[in-house]
Parts: sequence; C-alpha cells; structure tokens
Amino acid sequence: MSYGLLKGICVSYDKKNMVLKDLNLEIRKGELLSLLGPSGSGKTTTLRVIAGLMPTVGGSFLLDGQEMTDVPVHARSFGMVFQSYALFPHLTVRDNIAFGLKLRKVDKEEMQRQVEEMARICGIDAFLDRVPRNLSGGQRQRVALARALVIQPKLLLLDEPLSNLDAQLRIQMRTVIKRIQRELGITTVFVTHDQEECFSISDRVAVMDKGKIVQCDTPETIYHHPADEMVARFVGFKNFYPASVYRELGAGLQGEALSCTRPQDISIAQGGAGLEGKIDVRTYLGNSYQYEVATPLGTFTVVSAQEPPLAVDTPVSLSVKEGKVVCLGA
Amino acid sequence: MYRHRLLKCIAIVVLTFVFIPLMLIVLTSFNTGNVIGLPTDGITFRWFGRVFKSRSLMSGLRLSLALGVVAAALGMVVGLFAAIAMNKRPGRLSEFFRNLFMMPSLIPGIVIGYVLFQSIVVQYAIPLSWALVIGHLLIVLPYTVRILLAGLRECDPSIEEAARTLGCPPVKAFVKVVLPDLQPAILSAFMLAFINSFNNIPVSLYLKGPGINTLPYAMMTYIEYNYDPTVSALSVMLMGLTLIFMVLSSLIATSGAKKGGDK
Repeated sequence: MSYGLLKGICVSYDKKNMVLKDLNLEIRKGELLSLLGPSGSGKTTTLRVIAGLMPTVGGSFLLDGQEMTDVPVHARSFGMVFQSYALFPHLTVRDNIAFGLKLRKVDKEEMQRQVEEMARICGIDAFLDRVPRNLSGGQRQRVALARALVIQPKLLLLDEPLSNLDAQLRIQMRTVIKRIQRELGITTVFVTHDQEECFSISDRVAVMDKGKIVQCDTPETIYHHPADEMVARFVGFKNFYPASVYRELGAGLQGEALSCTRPQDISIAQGGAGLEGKIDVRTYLGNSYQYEVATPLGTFTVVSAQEPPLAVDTPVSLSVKEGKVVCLGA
Repeated sequence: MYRHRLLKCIAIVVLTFVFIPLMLIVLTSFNTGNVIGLPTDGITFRWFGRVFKSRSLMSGLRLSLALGVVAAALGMVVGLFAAIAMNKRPGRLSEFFRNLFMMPSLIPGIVIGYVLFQSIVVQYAIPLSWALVIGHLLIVLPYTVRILLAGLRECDPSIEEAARTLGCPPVKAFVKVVLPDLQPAILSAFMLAFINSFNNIPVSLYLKGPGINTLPYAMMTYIEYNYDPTVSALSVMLMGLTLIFMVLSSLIATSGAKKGGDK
C-alpha cells in the first residue's frame, strides 16, 4: 500500500537547530497527500527533502521499494511546481513545457504531441507561443503544472502553488489540480498553510508543527478528532477548557484532559442553565454574529445566527450542544 | 511654477558646464589651422585622417582595445565564479570577500599602480604585457563582481531548481536557465569593465614600458609634442564610441527591466 516512505528524516541548517526532527511519513499510491501547517512548521522543507533539493542529516527516503536518499535531484524524475512558478523567462510556453522532454531525448514529433496534449489537459493550448511575462498568474500556474506533468513524474510535488493567486482563481485552480491529479492518477504531495484549501482537495492530510508531523489522517478525521490543541486550533476550534469543568457547560465528563468546542457548537441564551458570562465584543459575520463572552473560565467565542442579536454587556449563559465536545488526547 | 523655473535654470547651468568643454573639443577637431583652436575660416576633416596615420596613437589604441577586451573577459570569468559562490553561500565570509573585491575601486589607482610596479615588475620581473593585464584585471573586478552578483540576486533561485527537477544536472541547469536570465547583467558588466580599463591612466602609468603605451597615455604624450587638433579628432571619435555604448547598455537595461518587472 505504501508507495513512498520517509523514515526518521532529520534536517538541520546549522547543525544545531533541527528543522525536521525524526520525521516519518507514508505516501500512498495515487493519493493526494497534503502537508498542512503554519509557516515555519517544516512543510516546505519536507517537500524539498522529497525532491532532493534539501540535504538531510539523517533518515532515509524510499520510493516504490527503492532507496532514493542519495539519488540526485535530476535523476529522481519528480515533477515540482514552485510557489513562484519558476517558469524559464527566456523560453516560450511550448519550450518551457518541452524542457524536461528535450533532456529525455524524446523525438521531435512525439515531443510535440505530448506537449500539446498536456497543454490541452491544463487548458493552456491557446498560449503555447507566448513567453511567461505575457501570461496571467493563473495561466503561469497551469504552465508550471503542465511542465511538471509532461515528464510523467513518479511523484508530483506542489509547493504552495495557489498562494500567489487571488481568492476566486485559487478555488478554481484547486479544482483544476484535483481533476488533473485524478485523471492522471498521479501520486501528489501538496504543501499549503490554508486549511480550507487543503481539506477540499486532499485524500489525506499530514498536519505539521515545529518540524514534526502531529497528525496524519483523512480530512474528516482531522476535522472531527484533532490530535492536540495545535491541530484543533488550526481546524477551527476556538474554545478550550479542562474536561472537569465541562459539567458546568451542560454534561458530565471526568478527568483533567483538555476539551474543545467550535464557536458554532455553543448555544448562547439570556438566562437559563449553563456557564454564566457577559458579552464583551460582538462582530457581524454576514449570516451570523460572533460573540466574545467573558466567563469565569476565560473568554469563549460563540457564533449564533439568532435575531435580533444580543447587545454588548448582556449577561448570558452558555451551553455546549449535544455531542459537540471533543476531548483532546482521548 | 517659480520653483520649477529655478530648477530648470540650475539644470541648464550645470549641463552647460558639463557639455561646453565637450562641444569645444568637437569644434576644435574641425579647425583648419595647425593648432588646437576654434575653426574661424571653414572646417576640415583632415585631423580625423591624421589620427590613423599617427603610429603612437594607433598602437596606443590597439593596446587599449586589446587590454580592455582581455581584462574585461578575464574579469567576467573571475567575477562570475565569485558571484556564484557569494550568492550560493551568503554569510560573513561571503560579505568579507565582496568587500575585498570592492577594494580596487576604493584604493587610489596611483597606489595600486605603484604596488603592482613594486611587486610584479620589480620583484617578480613579470613581462610588462602580463603586468598590464593583471593590473587592469584588478581595476575591472569590482565592477564585474558587483553587477553580476546583483544580477544573480535578482534571479529567482527556484528557476535553477526547477530545471534540476526536470532532469538537468546542476552545471547544465545553470548554463541553460540561469545564464540566459543573467544576460543583461553580463552585457552591462562587460561594458563597464571595458570602459574602466580603457579609461584608466594611473595603473597603466606604472606598468607601461618603452614602446608600450595605452591610448590615454599616448594622447597625453602626443599633445606634449604636437599641439595640433589630431587629439581632438580622436576624442570626438571616442565620444561617438561611448555614445554608442551608452545607448546599447540602456537598451539592454530596459529590456532587462521589462523582464524583471513581471516576476
């Protein structure tokens, strides 16, 4: 089942501070695996280790049962799309895409055919004779993708490929990437810091923090059962409290483990049972209101669509909706 | 409005002071008389012909051209490797080397000339032609290193990495994708290096020998003995050459800026 395997990877820039500490990661055949994490968590470094662009100080990388650790970048045959796209500015789109094929000594007609087919799949067949500076961001992105895919790579590596695009184009391009990835059945590793983007296209997600993989699972599992506080915060949990005080919020749970709840899973009411508090800040979100409520257990963030909205300084009571409490480390 | 007018006046005054001497030289090159002076009765082109007949000026021109080309070319090679190394491993050591390469442009040329004279000519008895090449290499290095390093720093490092992921070994990747991207910097570095070598007097002054004169020195010697407009005519030709160089390098610079603008 496992196609690529990173075992005990260690990376250090200065021999003192470890950027990656004993990192283990399994890549399955044909899947789209995302590396998700805040900046500085080591996700791009991990991708560069896979590409061979980053030397390691320990560990090994296996692909399809083959030891890849000491194989140089140019012999790995992985396609990579860079954050800046890294198109060759002096070459036309056609020559950019053909670059890898020329190095593989593919004959002219076959090359022509493959370049045009890949351009068609990526939707850039109309711009083949332009140079990169005359293309828009989204078009450049597609050229970079086509250039990486045309060499029929064993792995496709995407380094924050959507971060330089505007919001609408980003959503459009992630669908394009997912469609092409499915169509070609290519094993892909995708690096991003955007949780929504990541969950929308990934088969599995590896959440990274401080050079380690904190949790690696399907988006659904991570969304509903985050492994620790950091992951929970990353997937939208805002309210953290010890499990022992959870009773006050409405149900009985024992122990000192940390519990958490999303803002939309807490009900807010004037009077009644629950945790008492006072509204501090109210923000309008369009379809609902977000309240910051000061309570004896600290500030809680609650989202409610209730109309008319509650005024600031209103005394309220909070209770967690049935079954919406998540115990971390349980 | 008033301030603009004042600015305009100052600009005109400054430009006049800069250009009047040059204009005078141009005018004197057409003088029919046998001395350097303004043409009062008609103009002549014979001084331009005289330039090519003067053996000292022509041999000086040949030496300066050859020296400029050789020094600039060597300076490009050394500068390119130095710039690559400094770009790849930034840090204190690379900063030290960058400053070291800038030294020849900070130390007075007359000192460099004297030092080179003492060491390579007197001490090691290296042939003068080689001494000149070494001296001029020192003069051009600050320019080639600085411009090439700036050019490399402008290049997106992932372009080279992209070429490597597509199957290029490191050196080939540099030649195939980084060098073409670096072309404007390479051309402007070469031109600046050449012009600085061509113009140099103080270093050449120490390293020239009997019968080996660079052009600026040959021109100085020429007017000492013949106060005729031949040197003016030569100056006019050199100005023309410089003008062509300037236009060329600004053309290259704008095409480079276009490229850089959409990164």
